[in-house]
Amino acid sequence: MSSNKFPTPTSVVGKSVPRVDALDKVLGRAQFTADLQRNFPGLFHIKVLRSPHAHARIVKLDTSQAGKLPGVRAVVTGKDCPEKVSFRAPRILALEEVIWAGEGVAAVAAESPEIAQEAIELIQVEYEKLPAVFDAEEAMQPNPPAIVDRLLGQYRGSPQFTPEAPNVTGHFKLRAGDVEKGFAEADIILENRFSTSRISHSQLEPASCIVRAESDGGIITWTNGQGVYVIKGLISDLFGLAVGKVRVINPYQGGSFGSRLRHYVEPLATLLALKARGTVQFTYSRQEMYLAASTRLPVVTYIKTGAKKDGTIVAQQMKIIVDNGASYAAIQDGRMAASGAVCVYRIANFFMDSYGVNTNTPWAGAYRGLGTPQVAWAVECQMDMLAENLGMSPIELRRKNVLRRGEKNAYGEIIESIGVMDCLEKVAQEIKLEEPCVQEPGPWRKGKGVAMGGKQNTPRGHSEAEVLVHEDGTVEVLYSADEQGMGSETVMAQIAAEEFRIPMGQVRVRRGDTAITPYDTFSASSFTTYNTGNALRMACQDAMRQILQAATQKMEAPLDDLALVNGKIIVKGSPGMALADLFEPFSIFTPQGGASLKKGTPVRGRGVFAPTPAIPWDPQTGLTPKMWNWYQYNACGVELVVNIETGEIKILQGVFAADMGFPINPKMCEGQIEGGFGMAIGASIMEEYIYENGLMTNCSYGDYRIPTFREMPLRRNVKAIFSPDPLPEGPWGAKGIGEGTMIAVAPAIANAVYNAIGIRIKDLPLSAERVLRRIKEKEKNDQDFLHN
Amino acid sequence: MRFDFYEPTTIGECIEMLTHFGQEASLLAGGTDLLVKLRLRHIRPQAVISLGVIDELKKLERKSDGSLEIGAMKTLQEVESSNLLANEFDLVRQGAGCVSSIQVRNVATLGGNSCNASPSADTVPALIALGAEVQIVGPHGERHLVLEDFFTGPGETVLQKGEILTEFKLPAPSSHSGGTYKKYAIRGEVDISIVGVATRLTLDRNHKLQEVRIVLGGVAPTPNRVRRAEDMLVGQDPREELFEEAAQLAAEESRPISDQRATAQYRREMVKVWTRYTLQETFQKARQNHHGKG
Ligand SMILES: Cc1cc2nc3c(=O)[nH]c(=O)nc-3n(C[C@H](O)[C@H](O)[C@H](O)COP(=O)(O)OP(=O)(O)OC[C@H]3O[C@@H](n4cnc5c(N)ncnc54)[C@H](O)[C@@H]3O)c2cc1C
Repeated sequence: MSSNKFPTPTSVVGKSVPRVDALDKVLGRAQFTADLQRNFPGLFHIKVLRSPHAHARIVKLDTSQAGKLPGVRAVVTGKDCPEKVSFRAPRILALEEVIWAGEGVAAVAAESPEIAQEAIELIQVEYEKLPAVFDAEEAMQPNPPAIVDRLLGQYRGSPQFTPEAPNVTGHFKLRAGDVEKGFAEADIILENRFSTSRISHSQLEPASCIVRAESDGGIITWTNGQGVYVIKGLISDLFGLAVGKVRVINPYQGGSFGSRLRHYVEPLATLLALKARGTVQFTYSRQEMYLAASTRLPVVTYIKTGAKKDGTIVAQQMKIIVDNGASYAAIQDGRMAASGAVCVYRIANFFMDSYGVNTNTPWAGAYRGLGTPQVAWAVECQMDMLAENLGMSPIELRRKNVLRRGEKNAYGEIIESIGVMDCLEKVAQEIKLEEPCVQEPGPWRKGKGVAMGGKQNTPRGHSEAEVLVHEDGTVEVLYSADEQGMGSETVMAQIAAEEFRIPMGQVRVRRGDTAITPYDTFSASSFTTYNTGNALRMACQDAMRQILQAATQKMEAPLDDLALVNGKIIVKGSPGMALADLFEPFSIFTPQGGASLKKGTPVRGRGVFAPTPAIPWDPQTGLTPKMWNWYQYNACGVELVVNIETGEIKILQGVFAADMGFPINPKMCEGQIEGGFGMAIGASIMEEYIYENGLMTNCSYGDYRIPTFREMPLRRNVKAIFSPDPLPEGPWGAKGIGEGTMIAVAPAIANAVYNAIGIRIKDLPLSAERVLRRIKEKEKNDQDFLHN
Repeated sequence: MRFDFYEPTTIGECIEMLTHFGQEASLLAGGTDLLVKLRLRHIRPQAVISLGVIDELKKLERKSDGSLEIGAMKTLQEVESSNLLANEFDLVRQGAGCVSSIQVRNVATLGGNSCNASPSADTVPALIALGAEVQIVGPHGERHLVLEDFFTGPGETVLQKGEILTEFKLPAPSSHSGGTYKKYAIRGEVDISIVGVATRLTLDRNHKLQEVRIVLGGVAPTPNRVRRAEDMLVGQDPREELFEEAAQLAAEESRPISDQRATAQYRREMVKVWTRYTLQETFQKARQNHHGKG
């Protein structure tokens, strides 16, 4: 797909150029959604009354007092909401029943946040408590203690939602080879159960939007939600608004990690804007971010592995239970999470069931890796346990079973690009896995561990991009994918600069406005560089073609001999001419239509890219030659200390290797690695929802601790390594990196803890409490053993 | 929420206002606890009365008898960095230095930390270990009591309608003593204590333990001394095994609850660990002071 007819080495792509948004962000000039509020005098502010009960019937709901409070503009309840429910968003407000502690019951728009809050406190609700179910394994039984909501399945039209298992939202089956025969051949069989906690994305900017009801019945929305076109579609659909009258604008986003793929503020804000016939803003509090935004899917994984003495895995059986919470927007059948177990190892006989289950807990959804880290947590701990049982090194065992390029995975896909073993080898070498740790006196015990993993890319949607090439050689890039902090604007600018052979400073990115920028889905599944990047290359080439076409006449040269480099048209073997000279000035004596380029009128190039679609799998076996698109891979090694008196863990060193395909901007890839590593430290040793009767009791940064500098190893002790296996159809061979960077961290930490203190912990997080409890249990068992 | 804001300039004026509003008033010191409660709607006062401009509450004085008086409105930052509090009174500085971040300590007060009556207040175990007394002034005059008796439960004190805590009095400590406060929290001092342990040891001429104070925070409804552990040590030759035994006793005497920060079992285990460490460290300090002073 290269546009460079006269190949030269890349000038910008592959270089760690500074981020295009760096200056705006460090100077505090970048505009986030909440910054725009000051542009709207007379803005109304929204507050929501939320249920304290995990499951209850609303017996009485009286908003009359709230409505009478001076300064209140509009009050709404479930009765005012559109009946339609989209799987892209949770139900706007509860109707007859609340199904998790934190679900919205009523909402107010008022002249100030304080008045709105006061009004909320005047609303009277009477609840009748109903049985609730919090545990996914209990919830999935045929006669569960509670049915989360009879309507959930119907809303989504999920075919697998049956009366026999009323909380099961879906079931995916993989049946590869003959698992019974495999286990019969095995010399050793290992069975374990692993679990992960519910955690919050904790992106620093809470969900926020501003919605303005326009006089013609349309609306404009400024939001930090992901995917402007998806929101446009959702809002026009929910409220029956003309699509052409809904405009969605996306300023910078202060993080998402998958949270803002679900649109949990926009619909309510639209409802209230329409009712108030004005402009409203709705910004979640941090508490609401815990109670009523998306959370990471808690997953329970049962895994049974059979292996030969030489380490060859001959059979694997898994049952994966994905807790969707009280979700209308569930990931239905656990297939995406389960993919974490398929994409790394060569397992010919694989029998796997994954289930999506509803519980009366805060709803869950996409979170950096979409379930794959939770499943890899089980697989990678299991691999270390298996290695120990076999008396093999964990590296050797993985080397023996890892998928290699050109081989088929258990789905039946042929793997095109896989650099995972190379990642692990580099990590093991860097962390000196073979050398035992030197222990020091005192309660801290040192240990090292490694793990690896992969993440599928979903072939979804299509991306469009446009470029405007101006006569002075500057280029505007127009696209609609998100900039949630990962650097998509910089990557797009690099791609355009590369294509036109111009310095970065001559590219300006315009992004995320449905009235201006062309269609895209959203930034998910690590695909922005791949999807939107490919579309943008096409757009650049389209503009280039138009320019060179215009040049053929002026230069009297055939198209194939022409190239555009840094604002100059170059003809093979001649000095060429300036781009600007192609643009003709206005004159009443020359025809203004036609093929020639006009001064003041940019050349507009357009590109559309859609990934190759998946091929439907057999519902009984899950087998297909194309389940996903491509896979990113990674490996992690850590060195840590465990305090045997308090159970605390400190990470001393982290080494992380990634196969993201070709790195368009190495520094930003390092950023993804360091950020993902830090985030994973939180998920591994600190973060969990703590409940009392289903109500979260630690919903603040004070009691729900996310990692800070304190928990990160020193900068010099974190090392990022690239081990790319370039993907032929990616731009310059790029794949993606954002989601993979958490996957291997938790199991590497658990494996290092085992190395340090000989205790295997199978449940996340490895909090000080949990670690100490296991140390005490072991001490007691060892003593009982001595005394018997 | 709306309330009226008052700023009396003398203790007398303040007590008059307090008496007038009764239950409907809240006192404001640094506000680092009060504002959180207001925001969470835990309280809805009609009047907020600030102690901020009452100079009488801001003293810090060493008396001729070696005792020390600290006004309730001294900020934790002033306490932590005061030279008057170095050496013998260093325990108070340690406690104050363990409260959150410098930003919080710059406004939070010593009086507020006690009056808020959180079981895990970090300055309280240290103050109790030093034998602190509080002075309380109210419509019927002033009264004094030891700080340990000031607390009646989580968030509850002996303060009656119209009363304020005006100052802390610390008796002159023996020179042959040492004191240590250790806070254990998941995230160190910026976090709320799972357990706080203050110990103070005084050695007699023969290096035996003459006086022992072990005060626990965060593991009972109020910060309190663990007297069985203290009594067991008094008169003994300090030894590693003894400290371990005392730590075990302290753990048994503690009455922790389970909450979102830790379970009761974990808290009890941490009492054992941190009591042992504080005793060891305190003994080293007491011994040094003993040698140092001859
Ligand atoms: C982010 C953060 C972190 C924190 N971390 C810690 C920590 O690590 N350790 C810790 O111990 N605390 C911590 N706290 C709690 C708080 O900072 C301390 O308790 C502080 O000492 C309170 O003092 P203040 O002056 O701010 O009290 P205020 O909030 O002004 O008052 C507290 C209470 O005492 C009453 N009161 C105050 N002064 C008097 C008086 N003289 N007489 C009678 N009543 C009075 C007030 O009416 C109020 O009810 C933290 C608070 C925050 C916000």
